[in-house]
Amino acid sequence: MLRALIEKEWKSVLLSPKFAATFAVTAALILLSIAIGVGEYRAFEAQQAAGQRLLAEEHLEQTSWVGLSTRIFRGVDPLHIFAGGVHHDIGRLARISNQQAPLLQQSIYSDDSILAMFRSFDLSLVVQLVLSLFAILFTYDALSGEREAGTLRLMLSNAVPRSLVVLAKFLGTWLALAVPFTLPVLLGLLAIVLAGIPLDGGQWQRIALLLLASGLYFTVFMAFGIAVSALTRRSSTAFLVLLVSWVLLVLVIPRIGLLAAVYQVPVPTVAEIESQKAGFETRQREAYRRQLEATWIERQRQMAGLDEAGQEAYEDANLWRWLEEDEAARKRLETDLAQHAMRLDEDLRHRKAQQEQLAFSLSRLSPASAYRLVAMRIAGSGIELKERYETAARGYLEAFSRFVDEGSGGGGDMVIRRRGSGHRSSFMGTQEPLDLSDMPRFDAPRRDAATLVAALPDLGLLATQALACFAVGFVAFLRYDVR
Amino acid sequence: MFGLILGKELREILTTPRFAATFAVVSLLILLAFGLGARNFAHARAQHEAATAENLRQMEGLTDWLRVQPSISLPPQPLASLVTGISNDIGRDVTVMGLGTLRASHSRYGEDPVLAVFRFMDLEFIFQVVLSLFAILFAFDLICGEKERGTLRLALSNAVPRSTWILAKLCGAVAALTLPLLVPLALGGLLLVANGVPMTQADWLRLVLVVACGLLYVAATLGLSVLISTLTQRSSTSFLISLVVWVLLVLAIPRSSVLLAARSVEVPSVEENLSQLGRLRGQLWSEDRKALDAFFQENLQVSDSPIAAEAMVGRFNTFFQQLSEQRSQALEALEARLSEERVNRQAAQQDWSFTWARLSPAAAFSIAATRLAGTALDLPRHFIDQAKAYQQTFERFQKDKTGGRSAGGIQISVRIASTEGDAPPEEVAIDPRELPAFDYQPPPLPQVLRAAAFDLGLLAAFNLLFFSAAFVAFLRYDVR
Repeated sequence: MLRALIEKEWKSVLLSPKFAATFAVTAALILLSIAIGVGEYRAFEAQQAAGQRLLAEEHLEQTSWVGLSTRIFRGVDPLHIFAGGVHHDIGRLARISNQQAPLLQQSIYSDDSILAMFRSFDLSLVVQLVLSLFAILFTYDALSGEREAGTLRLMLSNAVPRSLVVLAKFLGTWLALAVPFTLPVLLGLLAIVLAGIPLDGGQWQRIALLLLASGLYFTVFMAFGIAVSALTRRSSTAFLVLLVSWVLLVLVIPRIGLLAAVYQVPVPTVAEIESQKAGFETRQREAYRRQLEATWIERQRQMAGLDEAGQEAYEDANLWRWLEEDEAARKRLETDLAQHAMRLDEDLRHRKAQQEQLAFSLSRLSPASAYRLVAMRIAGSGIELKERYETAARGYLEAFSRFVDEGSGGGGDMVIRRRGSGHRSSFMGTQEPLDLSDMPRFDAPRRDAATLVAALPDLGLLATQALACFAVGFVAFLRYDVR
Repeated sequence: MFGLILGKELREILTTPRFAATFAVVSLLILLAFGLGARNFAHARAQHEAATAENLRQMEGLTDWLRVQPSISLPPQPLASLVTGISNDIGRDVTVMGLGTLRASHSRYGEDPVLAVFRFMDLEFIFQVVLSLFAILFAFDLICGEKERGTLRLALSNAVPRSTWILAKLCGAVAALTLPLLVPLALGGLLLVANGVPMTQADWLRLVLVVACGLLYVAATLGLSVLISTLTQRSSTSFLISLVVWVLLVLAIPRSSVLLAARSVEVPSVEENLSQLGRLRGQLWSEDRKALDAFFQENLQVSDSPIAAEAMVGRFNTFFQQLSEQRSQALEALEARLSEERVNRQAAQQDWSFTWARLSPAAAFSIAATRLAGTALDLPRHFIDQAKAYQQTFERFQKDKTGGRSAGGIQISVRIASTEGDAPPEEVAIDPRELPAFDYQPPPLPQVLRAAAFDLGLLAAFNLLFFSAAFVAFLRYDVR
């Protein structure tokens, strides 16, 4: 019986112009999103490769260890084709040098702001906006429409339990929407494989999980549509209620929830933190300079009583030790600066994490947010992407500093003037290019299974929302006045 | 007769539950957009002021203006909170050195990706997405709905020319949809005033134009939907087509224009330019190093008298100043050439992309609104130009304070340790409040108007096109 009902439902949708239009639009949009995604993937890959090439050329010409710096680049990820998340918004490289904390900078949107004008377009957006809209379009008249047409009364005059009718309605329309979603997606995946974009086993799993999340998301909206249809008498009312709810759930609540949290938990701007760092640094360097001056005056004083030859002998005996002392003081200064900067950054990160947690829990009231968050998490393009790279960059900076220290043997440019015998200047480095072949390599941080586990609560939330909506619709229909 | 039909149409739309529901939602959203915009502005301004104050505070205790590198940032603009454009995507902070290339870094979305996840709910978004959707909801059954109900036949059986009837109907629909919107929009303006958002007269004018643009856009969507309604026989078909067209116009066309733009013109990457600059800098520095070496060979053969040493420091400073200025001139020349090349190519890319995007009224609205609000694509360039002007002001200030010296990217201190001298001369702390303030000016009004004029005209042309097409189509409409 259920099968016959589903078949009837599915056929009636399949033959409607609604279905043809939905199919055409979703197919066009999904394929377009994948075409844009593949184009952006290739462009990003080329851009990062060009950056690395330039860096290598710069390093070939490098002749001094002083101020040696390098850059690390964010790697490409084919999953960003499906859910770009904040991939375009956060920096695509980080400068690694002893002078500053390694933060991601030069986002795609800030470098090529034309891309920011109309924003990007990916599968998760099509699902979030368009598929949910079509889910409503498919279900708003599922029950109230049949009542208006009089067919509901006719159907229930047969020996059909109401529970089966509503179940069949749900499953039939669900199938009718799943097809226009699944077919273009499969076609898109085929196109991606044919375009030669490498996907490994783990990435296929992620894609499957992303599709599951998308399925759950439009299931929520279908169940919601059926519920509203079972709670209203006229299909036009149902449609109005659904459209207004759609605007609120998909467009409004996610943004408001987020902003509420942002204003709730104040976080200082990077500019403020940078000023604090810069101020501390200037003060420390000033103190260091004075200290150095005092030390040298003191040293001069020690040999004030000696004659010229004695002074020279004394200097020759002690100069190396002095330089070492100075160098140690300089290193202490650098460590102090680095630690202070790290404390400030740590504090900033901590506050931001709090803000983000609040923001996301507020906006999760809407299934659209839950879906977007879970899609970004699965695709590895959520806000944790920035954190992941910056943590890796900090680790890399340590290795890089060690490498520079070993290579240069410490020290910097220096001019020593000596009484009588003129001056000796020793600028670090020669005119010969440095050998940087042993420079540590930066490996893009891998995502571990934990990030996927972290996606489970949101998937669970979506499933719960779908179930709850369906339960409401189910119960409401059992008590529905079919006249 | 015209007035009669117009009145009937207005009454018919304004008294439906559909209107009540959508008007309530839309009003709420518009008020929210203004409220959130004001809140966002206050938040951004507080952050901006905190950063500026912190920057000044950190300079306290310094004794040499040469060590000061002020950090300036793009102050939040009232209109940017209502029409965000790309204002959150571009770098906001610039560290100003006496000489040398300026680069803006720290985009708001880059620093706070949490904001980028859902972006802002601004006025532009409300108009572009929500209001246009509601315009479709109102107009999709304007003609074919009357036919289905049979009222169309009845109306035309009277002595009413079709042209009068459709004209009244169109005017009624536009008036019923746009005039009520003026109420929440005006209230929103009051919200801005109540929240103390400092809007200048020019800002108000620009805001009014943004709203006018938005209403033109909503009317164009309405016209398109009426056109579809006069071309179809059943309201369900009309709705479906309208919805599909809406998805294409709002989502697909503008966003796919980017795909086209990226492929059309090759733009040299920021990195390529930076790397060229870096290379020149390295090359100049290695030449300077030789010059410095030669300078020391020559000048350090002096006696120990402090006066001679002072004179040597003076000579060194002049010499180094010359070196830095030469270096910075060479760098600036290269930078100007590179950035001009980049800007030209970006402009070509933008032309391609916008030409395609303008097929959609939604994109034309976006372009016009962001240009009016000063948050369009030329914002980063405008900001950097002003930062450069500030750099010169600061350089003059620095020279003034330090007696002709300005810092050229690197600083070398020559300190003379003397056994005879007592403590080094007392150093006086600088007063950070003397630092010239950075005052960002949005682009002047006439320039803004010129930039937005084309898209405003385009929106008007869309209106004309859709409404006259609907008019003509109705004259031939089969009312049976």
